[in-house]
This record gives sequence, structure tokens and C-alpha cells, in this order.
Amino acid sequence: MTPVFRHGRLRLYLLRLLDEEPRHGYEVIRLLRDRFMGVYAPSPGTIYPRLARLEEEGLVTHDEENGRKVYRITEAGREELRSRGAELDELEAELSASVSDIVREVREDVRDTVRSLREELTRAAREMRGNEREQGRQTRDTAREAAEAAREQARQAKESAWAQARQAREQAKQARDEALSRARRIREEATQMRDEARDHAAAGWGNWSDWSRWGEWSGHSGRPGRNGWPGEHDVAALRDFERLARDFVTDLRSVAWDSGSIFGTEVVPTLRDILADTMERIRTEVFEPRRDEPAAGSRPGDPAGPPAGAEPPAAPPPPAPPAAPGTAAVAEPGPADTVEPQEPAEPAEPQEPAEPQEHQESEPPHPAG
Amino acid sequence: MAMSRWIVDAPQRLDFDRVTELHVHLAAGTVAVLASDDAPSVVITELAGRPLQVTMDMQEHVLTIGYESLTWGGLLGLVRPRREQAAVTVTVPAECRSQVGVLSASAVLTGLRAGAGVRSMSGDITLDGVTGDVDAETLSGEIAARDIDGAVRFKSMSGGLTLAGGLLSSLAANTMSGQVTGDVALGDSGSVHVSTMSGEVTLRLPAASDARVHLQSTSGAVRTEFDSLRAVKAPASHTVSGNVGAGTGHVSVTTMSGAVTLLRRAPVGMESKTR
Repeated sequence: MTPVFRHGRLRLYLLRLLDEEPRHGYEVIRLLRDRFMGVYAPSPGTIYPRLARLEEEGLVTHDEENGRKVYRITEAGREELRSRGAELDELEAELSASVSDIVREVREDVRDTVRSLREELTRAAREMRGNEREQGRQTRDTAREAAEAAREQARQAKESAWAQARQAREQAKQARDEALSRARRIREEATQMRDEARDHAAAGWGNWSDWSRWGEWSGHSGRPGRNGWPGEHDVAALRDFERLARDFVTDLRSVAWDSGSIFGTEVVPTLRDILADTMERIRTEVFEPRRDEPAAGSRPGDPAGPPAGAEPPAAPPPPAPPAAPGTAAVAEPGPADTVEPQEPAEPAEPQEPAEPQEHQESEPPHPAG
Repeated sequence: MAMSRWIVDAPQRLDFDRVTELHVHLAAGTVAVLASDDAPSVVITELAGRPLQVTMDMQEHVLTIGYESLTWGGLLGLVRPRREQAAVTVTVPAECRSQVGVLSASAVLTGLRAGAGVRSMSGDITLDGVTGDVDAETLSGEIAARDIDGAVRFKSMSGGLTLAGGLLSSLAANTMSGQVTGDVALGDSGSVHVSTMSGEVTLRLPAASDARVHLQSTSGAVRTEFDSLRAVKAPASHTVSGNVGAGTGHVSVTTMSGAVTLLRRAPVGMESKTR
């Protein structure tokens, strides 16, 4: 607290207080404190010596009341007050100014408090935000790492899927080539057998009864094309064909489900490629080529015949469901055309060694057909 | 009705025997209302423009300081700049009910124990150690309060409210763009309702507070240091809610675009209260 009273001013103010009325020393202290809103509270150690000195100078005197000193101003004291009237007015102004100072101090103090509080809270809030950001960043980092790991896994999976697909395609190609060569061989054998049979027939209807067992086909052996023959044979062939197609779908599905692991990545596109290839091959090698190929032209039964040979290759291409298509394909057309079917069926087996059972199952159709 | 009236056109001091209610209306300058055990007094130290009018209702002990045309009710209607300027210091008993209205004048109120009402256009208002209900309204003035003990109602356009320390039985703050900042404790079943348009709200409550909390901002960030509060997924708003402690009190903050931060004052961290 800055000194409220300059030199000599407190002395003057004490005189002024006692000029109003006689007072206890304690009362003087209380009045001074109130005058300054409690901010300035002179101690008894300050006031009593002053009062004692004023008394020495004869400006005040005191009486004892109930063991306490009551100070009252003397005529000399009043004279002093009168002579220093201007100074007293100045003092009043200063004291008012002191109150203004007090008010100003309160205001500054509160504002400082408020300002520092705002800064503190703002800082706290910012730190909290910072922590949150840090946490957020960590979370993001973790998420990013996880995402990268996932991407890496996906890439690896894709690569392995590609590798598998490539492998599958190679296998398929291999199988196809193999099947092709077998089919060619079969066709050749078939042709050979047909020739032999023809020879036989020409020679005296040797095996003819065997042939007739498969239907009227033998009777029309000399007739060109099958267009004009919607007979039992064609119905059976149609039925077998339908079953073949159905079985293929079923087998394809079961193979896909069984292998499940890579399902969904490259499977469908790869399959589509393979099947497109296969379809193309079936179309060109099974259904159209017969006119071109020499073997086809030999007999009316040929149209169906060649397919029998050709189909095995067609079926094998799909590596996934190898057994079903291969076997079925071999089985159906074969019987329709010629007796050889069984032979073509065998060649099919090697292509899909994995599923001999299916092959066998598919065989029955031949005899049945 | 015994009514005394003084027209003050020069610095002057007036003393009174008893004042139970005080009204001060000033345009520019400063006004201080100080609680004192001393006899009530009015000290006018600076004066410019029109003379001040001081009236004293001797029966009701109501002291009024102001200009004839500048009353509590019509205070905010007088928007045009005024030349009147005064520095007024009033000491009243702590139990005196006080209302202070200023246009651009700054006001200081300390030590009052019967609450206070303050209105301001652009003047800043400082409250120190006021007990009781505080009703503060301002357009653009800042309101700074230290150690208020009671209920606070605050309303402003762009003026902010800062509460440094204090024990609140309730806080109701409503502002457009003013910031609301508080470092306070809540009384038993105390409630805090703060709503702003764009004003930022930052509150710090003791860690041991008891309150049901709901903090919501439509587009601003909402954060809290209280672990027991949880962010609520709500469409088109950021919301944090939950209970702190037993949840007997209530803390609700709603803003459109302002950020909301609820900080937690550690039990030992009382240093912020005193400075």
C-alpha cells in the first residue's frame, strides 16, 4: 500500500477527526479504515504515538473514561486546523483520490484476475485440443497402418490369386492341349473304327446287330445329315446334352464352393475367359468343324460323331470343374454317333485324373443312351 | 413522501444516514459502488455536461443518482452519444440493494451482499466479491466478476461474461456473440444454463462437481475434460452429455457455432481462484 498520507498529513487528519468530536484511539483507527474502504488500516502502533505527540504539542488532550483514553482537540489544535485550512481541503481531495485509486485498484485487480483466468482456460482448452489432435493423429496413424496392411494383404492375395489363376490357366491350357491331342487321336481312332465297321458292313453286316442296338441310326447310316431325323436318337442326344450342360453347371458350382478360398477375387473373370475360350472351342471344334473335317463328311452320323471326340477337349478347359464336363461331354455325343463313345470317355479321364468317379458316373449314360 | 433532491454541478460529497436501495444511472465516466460499514456517502469527483441529480427518499431510504432523463427503464433506449460525464463513488452498507446502469461508463461494484443489478450499453462492468443475485445485461460491454456467491443472470449481444471464482447457485447466461468464461463451483443442486449463438463457452468446474451435463453445439467443437461425459451421436450437432458425480446439479450449454469447453479443476488446483 502506497502511503496514503504524505508527511504531516496524517497528523492533520487526526486533528480533523477529533475536531468533529472527542474519540477513543480505537475509534480513530476505525474511522480511518472506513475512510479507505478497509484497504488502509493504520495500526495502533502508528496512531497512538501520533496522538501522544499531538498531546505533547498541546493540540489535543485526553480524559479517562472507563479506563480508556478519550482524546479531544484543544483550542491550539483548532487554531492549527484553521491555519492549515487550504491544506486540509487538499487532503480531502487526496483522500477522495485515494478512494478513486482504491476503486481503480479493485478494477485493475479484477481485470487482471479475469484476464489471467481467460488465458489459463484458453490454454487448458488448447492443450486439451492438442491432446485430442494427438490422439486423433495416433488413431489416424493406426488406421492408416491397418489400411496399408490390409492393402498389402489384398495385393498379396491378388497376386496369389493371379498366380493361381495363371497356374489354373496354364493347367487348363495344358489340359486342353492334352485333350485336343487325345481328341484328335480318338477321332482318328473313331474314323478308323468306322472305316473298319463300314468295311465290316460292306463285307457282310458283321457287327450290325451291335449297331442296331443303339437305335435306328444304323438303318439310316447311309443317309446324309441328321436334320431329317428327329427320331428317338436325337431326343436321347438332346436329353444327354441337357444333362451334360446341367451337370457341368452343378460341378462347376461345387468345385467353386469347395475351393472357396479365392472365391470373389479373380475367379469370375478367369472363369469367364476360360469358358469363353471353351465355348469358342466347342463351337469351332464340335459343332462347326464337322463339315470341314474330313472325318465328319464320311457319314451322316459324323456330325454327332466328331463332337463326341471334340467334346472331351472342350470340357477339360475349365480347370475347376474338370471331371464333370469332360466326362459328360465324352459320354453323350459318343453314344449317339457311334459305338466308340466309351473310348473317348477314357481319354477324358487322363485329362482330369482327379475325378475318376465322376467319369464313371458319367459313363452309364452311354449304355443307357 | 419525503424526498430530498440535490442538483450537483461541481465535485461534491454527500453523506446520508441510511440507504437501503441504490440506483445509479450514468452516461460516460466511472461509477463505483463500495460496500462499507461507514455512513453512506456519494462522492462526485468529475463532472462534465449536464449536472447530476441526486435524490433521496427519506422514508424508503432509496438513493438515486443520475440524470433526469436517464432512468433504469429507458437506459438502453438512449443510444446517441451523450456528453454527460461523471465520476461517482458511492459507499453503501453491504446489505443495500444496488442497481447500476451505464451507457459507456465503466462500473465497479464490490462487497455487496444483497446482490446487484447492472445494465450497460458498452461500458465494462466489474463485480468483486458480490453475494446474492446478480443480474447483468449488456450490449457490448464486458462483464468481469470475481468471487460471486449467488445466482447470476447474464444477457448480452456481443458483451462477454467472465466469472473468476465463486460459488454459484445458478447461472443463466444468454448471449449472441459474447464469450462466456467461468471458473466457478456449483452449489448444491446448482444449475448452469448457457446459450449463445456464436459465443464461445469455456467453463471450469471442480473435479468433485455434481451435475447432469449436456453440452451441445450445432457447428462448433464440444470438448470436456470430465471422463464420465460421453459424446452423443446426434444429427447436425456436436453433443456431449452425461453425469459428473451424482448428477444432482445441472449444467447445460447450447450454442449454434460457438465452441464449448468444459474443463475440470483438479481438487488441489485452487490457485486459479486467488491471484
